[in-house]
Amino acid sequence: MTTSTRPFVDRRLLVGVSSLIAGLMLWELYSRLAADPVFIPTGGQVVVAFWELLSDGEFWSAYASTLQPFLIGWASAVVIGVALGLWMGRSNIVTGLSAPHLAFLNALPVSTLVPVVVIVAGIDLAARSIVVFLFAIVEVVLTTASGVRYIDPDLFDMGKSFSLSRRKRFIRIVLPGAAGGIAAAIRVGTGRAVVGMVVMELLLVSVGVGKLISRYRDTFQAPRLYAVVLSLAIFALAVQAVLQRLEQKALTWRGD
Amino acid sequence: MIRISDVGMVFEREGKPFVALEGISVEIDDGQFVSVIGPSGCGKTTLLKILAGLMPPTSGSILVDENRITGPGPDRALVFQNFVLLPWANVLDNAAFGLEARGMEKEERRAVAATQLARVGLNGFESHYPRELSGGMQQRVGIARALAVNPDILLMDEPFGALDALTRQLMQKDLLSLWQESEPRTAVFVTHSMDEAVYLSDRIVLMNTRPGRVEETVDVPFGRPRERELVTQAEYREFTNLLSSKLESMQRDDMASREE
Repeated sequence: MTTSTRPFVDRRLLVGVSSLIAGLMLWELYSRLAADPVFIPTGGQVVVAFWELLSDGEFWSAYASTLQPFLIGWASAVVIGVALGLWMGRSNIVTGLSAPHLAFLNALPVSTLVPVVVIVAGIDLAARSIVVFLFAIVEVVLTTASGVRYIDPDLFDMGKSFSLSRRKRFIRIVLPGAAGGIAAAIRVGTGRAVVGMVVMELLLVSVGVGKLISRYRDTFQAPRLYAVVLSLAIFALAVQAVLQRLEQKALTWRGD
Repeated sequence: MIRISDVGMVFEREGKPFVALEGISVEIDDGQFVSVIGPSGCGKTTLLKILAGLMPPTSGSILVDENRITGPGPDRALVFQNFVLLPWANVLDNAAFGLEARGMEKEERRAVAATQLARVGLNGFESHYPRELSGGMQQRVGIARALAVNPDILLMDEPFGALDALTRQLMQKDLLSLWQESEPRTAVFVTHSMDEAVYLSDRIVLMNTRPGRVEETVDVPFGRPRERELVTQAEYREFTNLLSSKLESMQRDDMASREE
């Protein structure tokens, strides 16, 4: 089976890489021929700026300061969100109680909550962690809960027929059954947390990576500005890749 | 001895009461193989779920050796139509799951499960995952899981209903010999197939729909041990045809009475 699908995968990879190269060439052409270099640098300039950043201590300390609230907010969103999602998935009462709050949070652009957070918690690490948390939490809860509801109800009947205890039912049926949903919840939540992390730094508190972006923007250092944005994309992609790996390892029984 | 007395079951469907079972009374002797057969919607699966203790009846009672059934118990084990294996557990752990639920230690339950897997012909498949097995093999795991807890009463809900005809025949044959070889055990077997019911059972309960009710209980006049050759004999064909036409006319009467 693997051998027959191989060429297809290779072709997809080929198409993807070609498309990426074509995009980069268009950018290069446009930046060299038409654009004002103050606003749109060439790809070469960005790559050079990126290498410079990598050897710049400030770049790394900016990331260090940005990652703190990211990790705190992200981890609490995952822990609390997964727990609440599991609970919601198993209990109609909890679903009923949390549904209006989640619907409210879901409908609201989370960035509008940023000023509220600032009033309540200030602008330090705690406030920034809360923003990251708020960006991620709803998706984590809802995706986890739908993962739980997706579990074959016959499995619960089967467990009941063998007098399975609540604790064992949770460990042997609910958790593994929802594992796919939990993995998806963490993946989606991570993406949202990255957005929250940058939004806070750009909108309100000029620290970390957001501060770098603002500074390079204000001083018209376009190559460096682009390089920082590029570094964020690489960061997000790397996190996704790690999560995908973990997901595959945790879900080997699916065989996909 | 299982004594089902005047069991009724009423569900609510779209705000209206729906009578799934009404006045079901059946007695099943220890060690008997009893099939419950009837058209879709006659409540035979509901009856089996009540027997398994998955839901309480709205009226009436079921006694097993004078103890009233109020929930699942170690005396009973259920085999499901669609197998209901844990997709994330391998064959061995699936077969051991009933024992795990009952708190048996890992080494011990795996040993018991391995023995049962060998009995159902799944030697060497212990570390496979359910998705790697055919439907017939998955149901063998389901049967091994039920047998592993050594129940007095084995409840089976159309266990071969999801299998193709050839696999089905093989499974019937293997279940029959498994049944006849092992220590005496009561079995309640829900099915759509009269051939299957006659081949396997000592008694057959014929059910009808709306409300789900027992029309007739018939003793099967063939001794044990039975061989597959039974199905080629004229007496078997005659008896099966008789019951099939009985079931058919029951359904026709039912339809006719509804049209009036």
